Amino acid sequence: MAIRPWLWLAIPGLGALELVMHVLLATKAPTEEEFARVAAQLDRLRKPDDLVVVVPAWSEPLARKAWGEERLSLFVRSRMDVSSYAGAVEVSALDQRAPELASFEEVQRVRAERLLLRRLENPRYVPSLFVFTDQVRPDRMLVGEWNGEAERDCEFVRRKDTDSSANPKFSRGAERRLSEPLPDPQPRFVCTGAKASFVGVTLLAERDMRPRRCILAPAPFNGVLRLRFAQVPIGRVLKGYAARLESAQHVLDGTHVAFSAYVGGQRVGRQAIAAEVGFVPFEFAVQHLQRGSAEVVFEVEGERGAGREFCFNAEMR
Amino acid sequence: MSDRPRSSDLGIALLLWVAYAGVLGVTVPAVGYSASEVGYLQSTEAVGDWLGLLIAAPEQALHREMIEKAWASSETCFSAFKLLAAASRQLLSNVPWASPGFAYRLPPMVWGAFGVALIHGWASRVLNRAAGLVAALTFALIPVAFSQAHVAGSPLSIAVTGLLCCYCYVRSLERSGLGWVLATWGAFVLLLQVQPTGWLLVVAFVAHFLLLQGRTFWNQLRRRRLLVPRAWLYVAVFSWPGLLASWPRLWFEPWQRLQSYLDSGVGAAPGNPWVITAGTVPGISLVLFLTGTVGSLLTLLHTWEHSEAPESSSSILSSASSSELLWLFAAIASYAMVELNPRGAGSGPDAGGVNVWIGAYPYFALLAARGFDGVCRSFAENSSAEVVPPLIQRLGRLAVGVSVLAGPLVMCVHSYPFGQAFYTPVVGGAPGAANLGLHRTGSSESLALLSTYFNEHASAGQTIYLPRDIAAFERLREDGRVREDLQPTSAIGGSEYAPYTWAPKTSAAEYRIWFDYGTTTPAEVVAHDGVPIVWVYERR
Repeated sequence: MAIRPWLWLAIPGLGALELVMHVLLATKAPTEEEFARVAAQLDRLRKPDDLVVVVPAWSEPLARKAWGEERLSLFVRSRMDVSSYAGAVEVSALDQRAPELASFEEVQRVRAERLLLRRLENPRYVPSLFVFTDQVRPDRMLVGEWNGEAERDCEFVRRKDTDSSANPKFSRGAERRLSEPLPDPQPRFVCTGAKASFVGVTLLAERDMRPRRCILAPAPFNGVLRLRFAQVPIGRVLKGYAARLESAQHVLDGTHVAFSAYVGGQRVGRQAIAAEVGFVPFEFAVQHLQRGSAEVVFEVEGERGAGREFCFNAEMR
Repeated sequence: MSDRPRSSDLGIALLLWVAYAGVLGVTVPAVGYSASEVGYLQSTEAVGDWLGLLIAAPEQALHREMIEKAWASSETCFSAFKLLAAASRQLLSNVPWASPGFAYRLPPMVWGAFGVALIHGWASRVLNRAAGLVAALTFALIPVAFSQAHVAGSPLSIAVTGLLCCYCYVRSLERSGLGWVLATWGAFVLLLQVQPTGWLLVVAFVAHFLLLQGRTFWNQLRRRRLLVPRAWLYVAVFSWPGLLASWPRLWFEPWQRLQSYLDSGVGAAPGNPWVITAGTVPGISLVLFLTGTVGSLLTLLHTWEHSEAPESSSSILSSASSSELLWLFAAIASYAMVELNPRGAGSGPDAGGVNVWIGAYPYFALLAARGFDGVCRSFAENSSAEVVPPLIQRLGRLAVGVSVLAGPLVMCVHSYPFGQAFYTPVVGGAPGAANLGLHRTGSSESLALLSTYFNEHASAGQTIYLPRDIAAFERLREDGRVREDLQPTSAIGGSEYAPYTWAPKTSAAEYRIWFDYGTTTPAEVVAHDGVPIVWVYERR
């Protein structure tokens, strides 16, 4: 039978096929109600310190609305990486997988509604002994500015007002277009050196738009900012990420911020952080040091004495 | 091709016009205001004030200071549309059911519906009535076109203006009188008002003419006779003075301002046109368009090969192939206009490049009708009257028509009021587009999706954090779509609600809300097909 006379049938066929595809695709992704209905199964599957990851990431707001803060907290969302989690539960739709959990091993799976819940274990689990961003408070740390002659302490304050609209706008990396005002650290150490500045925890977007919690630690003019953490347990490595932030008002001058770490008085690493590169990972070995606990000091210094905005996170592992 | 349209075709065109405008009018209350539309409406208000002054005190209104004040904000011209919108607002100001937004949007809605009727009329003349209906509905049911047809200063108004220009031009080639030539000139002036790169349509006219009449043109040129359509002369000579006269901003420092207007149309356009077109126009319409384009080009080639002598200019220029070739060139020119005009209405970050290619869609619809006609012919050839009764043949053609329109109709209805977030199955629908990181909805537009939530949940006088979209919120409030007592604020501190609309590279704005509100749990999420579009945080 000749096909050509019947080719026209392809058009109505395609029309019908597209309509069916549309209906299927429009009902393919899970709804908020479905996320809510699997909450109990999620709780049965996950262990207390498990990481919960929703894929695809764009469906996460529905999961956050359905599950609340407890399962998808800000701390979990702004994680440094997944290596410090012993286990995770991946809640996936549309047969997608979380690339960051690729090295985890599946131990259990449950299909509920249109979601697949998989409990995974991390074969390369390295526990965090000390998370520095969680310890920014006066009983655990001291902040001071060294001006070459003396060190001036920065005072810890708890601000009441929450308006950060007047904060400087930063145009770092991918945020350039948006130029968001910096989320304002509330409990903060206020330094009154050559120019007033403050140290505290804030939340920024990485170049890939993931949230990064970090300690805002501006390099002072003609000085060194010192952050001292007492009684930090010593592990194998001091790991973290750091970024130099660029004020939208300032022209880039190509200078770096020098970032150094000392454990028990001994320098374990120093890294120059350039502008416009986003968060840069660092990893300083400390396994050669004596076990136990010691003071950890971070120093932040602007190249050629220039003051520079800077933010970092670190964990002792 | 008949010279005079049949009254029944005119009746159908009129019916389409009224029906589509009616549907737009009924559905407009759920459509939000984009940032670019808000800017457009602000400048329209200034024009409205000036119009009032012009009626009350013409001498005062014509002072340079007053003209500059009224038209200064009009970086993009749209002068005729703004005057119409201002007049509409004035006329409907005492009509209780007509909100200010409705009044401003009425002229573009009527204009968009006129485009649907015009497509029907043109395709009916060139092809047949059934093809005309398919063309009109193919265009009307493109979800992003339907969405943009509600909006003032949108690329859809530009698209319809370009279409009118092409139609008048083709008619001017067919008839020897001056009427259609003047109509072409008028439409071209209107096109220059709404699109700084509208002059590119002339390139389509020239290419169209040379391809159809190249041999005759060169033969005449050798005899030192310049044979060109009269419409060219009017477009080339009189359209710029027409623009100058019709845009009061150009009455002072005309050269510098015209230069700046034309310069505004140079740069890189947002988004990938092919991905966006495939993602926003139903696939069946695109397949029909491709079928129609190939069929049209083959017919033209066949005509050339089998014509022993060059046809007379009037016969070939008035042939169906002439219209079909112009549709193709105009579609290409429409893409070029956007590539050169990223600052045109609707091309800002809010639109994410989803709307700006609409200029080509009327011609897609017309060529899709050509494709539909080809399919119907093929059906007829393979179902001879001896074997298949005429009634079954007619039902068969109807079934083909339904099969190519049912999908677009379902998609269009389903997309409302998420027209900006709609994507076709080609890119995997809304979930597939989210995987690709494609635009969903602008933050200003998405506020309308939250109006019910705010009206029902917010306490009296509560504040909503809107760092960039206060003007859009105030438009909704003015229309009575959000409660009067709710207060927008640009300061996050002290605000009680903070909406966030997803857009590429804007997550930092959401993190700021998390940080300030101390929560990552939204109080409400508005999603389309499971893809979150906008969500709102409540301070606890």
